[in-house]
Amino acid sequence: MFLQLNINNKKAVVKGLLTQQPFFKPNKHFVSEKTGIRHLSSGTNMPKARIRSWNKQKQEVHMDGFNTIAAISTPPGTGGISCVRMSGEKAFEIASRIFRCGKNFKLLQSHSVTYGKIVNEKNETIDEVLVLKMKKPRTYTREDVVEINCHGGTVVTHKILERVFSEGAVPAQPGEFTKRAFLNGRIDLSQAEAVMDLINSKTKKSEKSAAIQLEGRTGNKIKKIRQRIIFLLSHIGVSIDYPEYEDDKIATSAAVEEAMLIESQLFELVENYETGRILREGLNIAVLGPPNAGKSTFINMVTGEEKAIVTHIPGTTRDVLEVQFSLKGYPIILHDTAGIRQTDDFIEKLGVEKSLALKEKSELIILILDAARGLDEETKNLIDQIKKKETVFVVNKTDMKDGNDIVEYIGLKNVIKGILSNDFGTDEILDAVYSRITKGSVDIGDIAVTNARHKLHIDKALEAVGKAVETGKSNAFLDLMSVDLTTAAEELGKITGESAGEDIIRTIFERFCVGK
Amino acid sequence: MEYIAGKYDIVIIGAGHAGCEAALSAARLGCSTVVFTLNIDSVANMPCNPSIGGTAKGHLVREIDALGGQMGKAADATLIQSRMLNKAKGPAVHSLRAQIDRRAYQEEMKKNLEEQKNLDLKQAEVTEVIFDKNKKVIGVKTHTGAVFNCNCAIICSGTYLKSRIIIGEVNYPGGPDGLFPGNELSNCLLKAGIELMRFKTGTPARIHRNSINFSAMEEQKGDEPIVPFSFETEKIEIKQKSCYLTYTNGKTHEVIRANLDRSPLFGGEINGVGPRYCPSIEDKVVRFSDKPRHQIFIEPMGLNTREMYVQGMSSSLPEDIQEKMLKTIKGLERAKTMRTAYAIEYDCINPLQLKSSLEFKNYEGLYSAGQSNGSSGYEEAGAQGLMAGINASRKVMSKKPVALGRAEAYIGVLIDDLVTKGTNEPYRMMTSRSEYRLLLRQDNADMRLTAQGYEIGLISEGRYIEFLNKKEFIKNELQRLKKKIFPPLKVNAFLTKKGANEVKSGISADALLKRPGVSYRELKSIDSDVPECNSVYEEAIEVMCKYEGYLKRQKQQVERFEKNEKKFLSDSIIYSKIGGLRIEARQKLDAVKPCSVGQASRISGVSPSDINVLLIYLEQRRRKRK
Repeated sequence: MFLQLNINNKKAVVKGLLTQQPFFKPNKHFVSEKTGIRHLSSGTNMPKARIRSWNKQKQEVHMDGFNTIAAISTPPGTGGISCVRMSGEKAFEIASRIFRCGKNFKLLQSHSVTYGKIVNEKNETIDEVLVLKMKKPRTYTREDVVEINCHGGTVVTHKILERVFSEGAVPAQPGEFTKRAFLNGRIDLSQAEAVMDLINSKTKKSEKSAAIQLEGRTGNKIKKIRQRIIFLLSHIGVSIDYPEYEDDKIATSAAVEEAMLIESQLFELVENYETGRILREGLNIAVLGPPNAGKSTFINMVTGEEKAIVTHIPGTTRDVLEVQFSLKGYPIILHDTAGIRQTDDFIEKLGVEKSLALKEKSELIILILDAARGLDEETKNLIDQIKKKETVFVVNKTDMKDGNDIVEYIGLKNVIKGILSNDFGTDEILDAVYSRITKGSVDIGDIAVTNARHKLHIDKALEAVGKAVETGKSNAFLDLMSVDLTTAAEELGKITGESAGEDIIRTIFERFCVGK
Repeated sequence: MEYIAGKYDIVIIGAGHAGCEAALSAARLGCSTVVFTLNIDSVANMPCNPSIGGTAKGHLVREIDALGGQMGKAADATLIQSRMLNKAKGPAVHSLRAQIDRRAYQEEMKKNLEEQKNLDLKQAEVTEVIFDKNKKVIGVKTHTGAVFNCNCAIICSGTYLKSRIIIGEVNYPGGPDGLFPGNELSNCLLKAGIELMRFKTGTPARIHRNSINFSAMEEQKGDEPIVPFSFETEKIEIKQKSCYLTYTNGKTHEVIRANLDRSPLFGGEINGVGPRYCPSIEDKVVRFSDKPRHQIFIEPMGLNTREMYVQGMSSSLPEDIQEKMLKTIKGLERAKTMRTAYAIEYDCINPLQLKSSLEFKNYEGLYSAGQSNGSSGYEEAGAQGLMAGINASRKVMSKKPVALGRAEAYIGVLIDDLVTKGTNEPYRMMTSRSEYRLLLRQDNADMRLTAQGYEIGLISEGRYIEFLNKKEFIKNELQRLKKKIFPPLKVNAFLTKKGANEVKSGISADALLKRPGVSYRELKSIDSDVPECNSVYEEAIEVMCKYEGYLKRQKQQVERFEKNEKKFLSDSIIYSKIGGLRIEARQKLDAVKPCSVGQASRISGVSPSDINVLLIYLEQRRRKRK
């Protein structure tokens, strides 16, 4: 998947990049954030932006209070190239620390493309890249902007994004590049409403993917660790706010011990992120269908070939099985489900309900239907129910019956016919899944970005807990410890969407019996 | 009969802790002021614990003092025991707490009110606030029909509005300490369209000193020397009274459990919302059923009384059960109750209706402060009273209102929480409520606020100059410590004596002081240049030097925080018309009418993306106006 660079296609790439750059093609201005291009192509709420030319307007006053933000500004999967974009006062400084090109970054010309390498903390190469440096105010946001064009693929792009975060950039909020463009006078006043709508719609989308992620195992772990910090904080809090209650006091040594345990849990979490295991918890695909249609056969075929299987995890119910694997670099979780049918059997009913719930939770569905059964009522129902979702339709067992009745009922061109027991059709299905991902009709981008954002907050939480431990060990003041622990709780709270203050107070009164 | 009885700039309704501070500050700032109380013998009453201060609350008293309020001085004059809490837990949470002679405190405060120029103290129940057709306050009316015209009125009605006392199955209209409730004012406020809430709190029994067996209890003495609340009190030399500690036991809990069916808390008699941090003993026993015992503190009510306060035994159980349960406690076997414990329900206003100045958003000239705003505690009340008094005076003088920031003072946190987030239980100040508590210490309350107090007009010229001198002195000394370098030889002798690691090269006095276990006072033994100064200065220097790193970090956080605090929002913004905001955010913003983007971001139900939309909207407005 690595793109070999040579002089010729380097130029080609440069050219291609330039035409994508908002600055040179104003009418694409709104679309180059994270998921932007899809925005344009799906024709949603962004009209053509009228942009005032930069030299006619004086630089605006909103530069203060802005962090340097970063995000992946290309949709996932397209063309093998991704772009990480930074905007803000520190963009050049950060770039100079992570980008090696044989020259001093400061001396690079503005609006020029430079070939080089992005390196990690140990000066090892993460990726070969082309970097576009753009000095304010001739930029989209009217701030200093750096665009790092790297090789596409989730892992590398996110490594670069994480690297940028680790040097002090913060994740761009949904729609933030555009917000800044507006606040800095780059975008016409008449577009204000559209900018607000953009922020709104992007927020909704990213909230949804964040919510989905939090339901997973990682989300639970984060919540548990945060809860543990809150517990410790409430214990410290009660010791401070109710010093007269001897029974409820916590000694500094005990607080340090607990903080160290929390630190090790956070550390483990970070390790997992770094080895990419968590990133692989990405895309949920539900394999649905009536009983005995060949769902499990399909999964066995996928796993039987050992396509980069990571783990087998028995589901929480006895009848849902999760299989994780990587499809050409994309993290996938396949959910094998109970066959869907009307049933009076209580346990089976539960299974069916789970399957239907999974349908809602998944980003993509593979619906496997049974040609041998023919187009009965249940098959029809299932197709009707699922039609609105992003689905790969499969008609299995075409060796027993041609299944054309079903294909006709579905009424779509790209229905896959297969004989899964002979491994006939498996690759076709996986190709279909892959093309849905790369076409962008399945949204993996938000999930991956959420991941990078989560990691940033977990890193910060870990650092804060580390400081708390250090403080507790060196001067033994509970109060100073709690300052850092609160920071940690707040960082994790940015992932779980909770704020520490009221939580601590609530926990104090739930756990401790204090008061006159 | 109604008659015009007089005219004042400012009328204050209630002379509790909020009312006293409000009245004194308003009068001191030059406004003609009258303060009404239901009973002149109950000015600045402490109907609950006979103490002032405690964690976070002690900070509030210090801040009141730094701004020129009275509470700290009155406490210094009448305290009978003093302790500095949390000495081992970090400089930011050191907190002063003092047992107060309750009667003496009342007299002290009353004397201050009586002697204050521009201030009249009157016994009367205010039954009505009079508005003009624009809902601006123009006067108040008392139960005897006297009408006092005014520019501003401050409600400091505490727990007196339509209050009801509940003791087991018995309940009746009544205020704290056997005083009358104010039954009329609530109706007037409701009629004017003000939203009221119903809160509940309670207080334990008072028992006779002679009936207590102290030998069965642990004695708790005060700290020596006494650290005063007020920055202006030089020292306090008194013979301190002790408190005593005892515990409930299985028998106590048995009595309570056997009689829960007679508890109005569990029987549904009480509808008001009680505070989580002030649970009644029956609440504690039910909710923490596995705890074998609960602490009970016996505190003196004063020097000239034998009454003792039983902290930890707040209850609304019937009187006969209270008697039974008291007598199960070690040392209280023969206790004679003088006042029965009771729960009290009362009306208060929903503080979301207030601006940060504590003026009602929709009723010009009407302010509210203290427990009538849904807070709890004397110190919280005093702090709000002071600010309401200051702001009402400034309104009279056509000056801009003053609001303290969250990064400036606990007072700022208190008021911002109340008017931005509201509260669904009596609100108590806690250190955990402050985001920047390393900066909001009790030792530096003057550094944070006295310059403002001077600007407002409540700090005298002399005190201000002294404050400037202190500030300068500390600054110079901190700089000197950085420059002063000790050679290794000299320092190592010092360090070896302390059992600490030696240094190889020279070390600055600043770096030495930053080491764990080294105190500023100890520096004197090797640094002859350490200037003579009192212990208050010493403490300030030590804290600022030792925690420089932490303080710097928190200051950076404050800088980030304040950027949004300085983006002001006009009252004229109609949020329901901003399309990009989510519906919930529009409603909340319209209700609160925040004065800055920062305040808006703290409203529950307003998300970061709403704030982004708001910023876009502001920019749009700005450009349109151009």
